[in-house]
Amino acid sequence: MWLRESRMRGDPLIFEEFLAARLPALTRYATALAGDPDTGADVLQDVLVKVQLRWSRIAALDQPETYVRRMVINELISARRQIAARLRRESAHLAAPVADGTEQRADRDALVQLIRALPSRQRIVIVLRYFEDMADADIAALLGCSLGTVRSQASRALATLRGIAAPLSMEER
Amino acid sequence: MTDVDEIRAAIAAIADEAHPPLRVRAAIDARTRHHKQRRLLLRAAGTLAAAAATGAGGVAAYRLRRPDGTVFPEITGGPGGGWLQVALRWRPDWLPEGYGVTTLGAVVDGTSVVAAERVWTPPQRLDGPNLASVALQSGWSDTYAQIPTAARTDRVDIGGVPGELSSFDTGGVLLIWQPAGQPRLSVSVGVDDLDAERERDIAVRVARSLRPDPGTFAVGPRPGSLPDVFAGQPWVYTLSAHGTMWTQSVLISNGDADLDVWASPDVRPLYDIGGSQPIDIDGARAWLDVQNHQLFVEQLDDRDVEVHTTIDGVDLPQVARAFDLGPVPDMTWYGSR
Repeated sequence: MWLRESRMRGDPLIFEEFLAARLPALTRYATALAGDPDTGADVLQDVLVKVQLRWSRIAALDQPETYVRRMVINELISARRQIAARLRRESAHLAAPVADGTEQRADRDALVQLIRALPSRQRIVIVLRYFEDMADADIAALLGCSLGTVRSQASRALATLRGIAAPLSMEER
Repeated sequence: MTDVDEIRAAIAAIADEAHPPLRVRAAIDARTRHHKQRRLLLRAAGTLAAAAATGAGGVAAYRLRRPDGTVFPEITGGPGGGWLQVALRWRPDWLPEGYGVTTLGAVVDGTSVVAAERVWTPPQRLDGPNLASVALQSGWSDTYAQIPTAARTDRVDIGGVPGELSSFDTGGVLLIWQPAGQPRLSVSVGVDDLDAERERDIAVRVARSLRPDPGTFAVGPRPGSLPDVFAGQPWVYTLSAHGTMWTQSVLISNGDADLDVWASPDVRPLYDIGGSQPIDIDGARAWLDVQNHQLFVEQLDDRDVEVHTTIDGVDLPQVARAFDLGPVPDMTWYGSR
């Protein structure tokens, strides 16, 4: 139960520095991609455990954080995560407009719910495009798919979001 | 506000719900310890059905369920069986309430079993991993046993045999003793980092409850020809489950370098296969990342396989081709007592 404990820990100092510097941003990133904080934290924890065990190799990469972010996406779109995400979508309900006196707030809440309920790949594309400000070509490279696939995923996602955002004349970038 | 701004603001609102980083960090630390525990010692291909069929006293054939909704899920396995039988030797009469077997394994040296282990945990949680476990190991391997410096060590009596009970700053306790004429035994417990006394009590109580167990399980996979640096080394074989998927792993170490093979019906590669070299492994699609010493094979013998090593110069495709994955493991033991 205690085999090779020290070596498998990798280089704790460097990994610690990486976590200290990047964990807040990675937590927000994973939460946005996942659409909810619990799944985001769960996915990020899974990924960072793997990262820690292989840190010596990952740290040697030119951009370790890019690699970690790709791992987060891979984990999110893995088969078992898809099952959980589908169950979550099936149980998701569009929030009724909130009667708090501000129509804008109600629209925001409804849009949040729609983004949460998007299929994972569509939500990932939308988040990368609009939250991470990534170009479609870079998203395609990150996801390992074609530019056309990225744009079709984005188009479908935007069509869904138009359900409430049409009056705002939403346009694809 | 433009439409794009609306989307950005909505996504930012979702991101703002992120758990506090410190909480995430604490969970990572706990999960890392658990991951190590589950990986490090033995997860072997369990064929307790075979043990039961021969009348051996294997794991009791009932699946534990708890009223709070946490369960040991049905893990769809296969026929099981293998080339090497592992004797369990001992089983505890007492375990913490609700614990079931979730990991079996062995350290194999040639055609001999150096050590065998079972790990019991609470049922899988729907909202995260279990961070508690009790493991019983029979036998010992110096190659794979590196015990961290103990924060505290006590002598305890286990049925008239002196035992050494150690606890560690990183959490968890380890109890080691050796009955006359028997292999070394150890019980490790990781239940609650904030309550080392409770962990120590559990370890001692589990150890004192041990009874002979004639049950066995089978090891299915077997490395084929290996590079000289790994040839002839003992190796660790483990079988467990992640969610509803079984996972096999073989870890070979010479003390300085590692070679590990992971197999599961559905394994995601830990690297970008898009930047890797596509190759063929016995008719299965595979991707070789030479620079990072890793190979991912898609659906080789009904499972996805990842091969990884820590050193240059290992012919990973040859390792994969020569590796005998064995039959799809039986998983009916999962969650039983």
